[in-house]
Amino acid sequence: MSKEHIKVLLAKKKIDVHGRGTKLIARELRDAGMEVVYFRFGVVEEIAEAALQEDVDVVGVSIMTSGQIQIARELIPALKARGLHEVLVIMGGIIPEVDYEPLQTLGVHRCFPPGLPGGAVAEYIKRNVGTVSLA
Amino acid sequence: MTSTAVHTTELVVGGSVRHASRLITEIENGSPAAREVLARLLPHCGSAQRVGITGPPGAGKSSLTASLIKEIRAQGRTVGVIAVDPSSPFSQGALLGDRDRMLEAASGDADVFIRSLAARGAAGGLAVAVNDVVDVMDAMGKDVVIVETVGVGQGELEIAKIAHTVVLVLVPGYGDALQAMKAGVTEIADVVAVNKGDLPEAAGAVEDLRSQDYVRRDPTADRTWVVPVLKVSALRREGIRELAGLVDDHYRFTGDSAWRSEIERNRRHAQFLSSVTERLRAELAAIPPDAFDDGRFSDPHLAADEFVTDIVRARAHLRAGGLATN
Ligand SMILES: Nc1nc2c(ncn2[C@@H]2O[C@H](COP(=O)(O)OP(=O)(O)OP(=O)(O)O)[C@@H](O)[C@H]2O)c(=O)[nH]1
Ligand SMILES: [Mg+2]
Repeated sequence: MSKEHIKVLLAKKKIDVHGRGTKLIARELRDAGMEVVYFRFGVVEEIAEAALQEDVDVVGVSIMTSGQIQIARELIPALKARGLHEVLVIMGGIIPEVDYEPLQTLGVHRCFPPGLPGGAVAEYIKRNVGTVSLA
Repeated sequence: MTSTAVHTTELVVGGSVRHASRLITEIENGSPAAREVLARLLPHCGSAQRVGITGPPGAGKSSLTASLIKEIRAQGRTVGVIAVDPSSPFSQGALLGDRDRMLEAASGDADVFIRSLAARGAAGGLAVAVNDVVDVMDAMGKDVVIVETVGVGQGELEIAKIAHTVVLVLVPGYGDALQAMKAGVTEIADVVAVNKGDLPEAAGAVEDLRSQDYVRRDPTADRTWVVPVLKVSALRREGIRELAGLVDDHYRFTGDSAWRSEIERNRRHAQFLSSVTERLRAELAAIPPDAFDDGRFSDPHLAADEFVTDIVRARAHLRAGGLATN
């Protein structure tokens, strides 16, 4: 599915100081024509609330330290509780591959390893935005 | 369609962020369905105080907005924020970074609604959308609606028509920035905030600006508003209460004469003009190069004259009852 203006919320933990990867992805997505709301969160509820207010098509969480499982466990229900059933949820950054499957079971649509060729994430988003639902 | 519009209207007026938020997306996309809802929201509009925050890139507009949000919330008033950032002319994409700076003020507070908008390159179109989004937040019952725009290009002129009060945010060494802005202080600023007041150069900047004696003339009465110049620091949270106070003072000042109604009328007038312009622009863009096969486009101004005359005449004809008697 293609959409004229894809809006992405790109969130990164406030305490993660290494924000370069996130900023890089943000720029890549912008260069792919997307409108990217970049922000740092303290608690997961803030991501869901921002997604609601910004009416985004995609929520991306950038993981630099750990906590991805807990984040997903809270994020997916928080999105659903706000009626955001069709948002595409992706995670990226430093996530051990063994976590990919449990994360997808929790409702994350796709995990990306760091250092992907530019445009891979944008490509995935363009192909999948609007086609998913948070079961 | 209409029953959906009625339903959406009720939900938005009832304060549903989900529905308001989706409506705003439709407004951004110029959807006709959104116009129907907006028409129904209009009777619920008119109670919000509209504040414009503008100034050069990086002056601290978002940081100051965050401080203002806190101040306004402490007074028990609800806030809506519309933060506009430019779109890339190359990719049409945009990095919307204002929310990040405001997070601290907003987090966990359901009575603060922040919406980031990409300018999408449409000079007049942006003003149409922003005005409509202001109306949505107004209809939701937000007591104060703050609009942040970068003050380069057309943005700062539009903001003067949208807001009751425009706060121009400058920083020490503002001279070049002022030159880069198309409009001068006198044309747009009701309050000047010299931010980054924690920097040593700030005092001189404030003095310079104060010595200019900027005033705004009340177009409806024989009196003037002296534009206050205030040193603030979003970083240290200094001068924020005073800034909020000055914004309210100006709002009250315009309400003491017919100035306020003039502001409202001018806003609706500007909205009408930009709405007509935008919609005609879309119609005109659809005219193919071979629309006139008699070569009229070889004199484009003549073709334009004829075109506009046709429209004006058709309108006069309709007004005179041409449609009814036809
Ligand atoms: N020293 C100092 N720095 C400040 C102050 N307020 C903001 N800043 C810094 O100025 C930079 C820009 O702040 P923003 O609030 O994003 O400015 P802005 O005008 O909204 O920027 P754009 O939206 O990108 O045009 C940030 O690095 C802030 O930390 C202040 O009062 N003092
Ligand atoms: Mg900003």
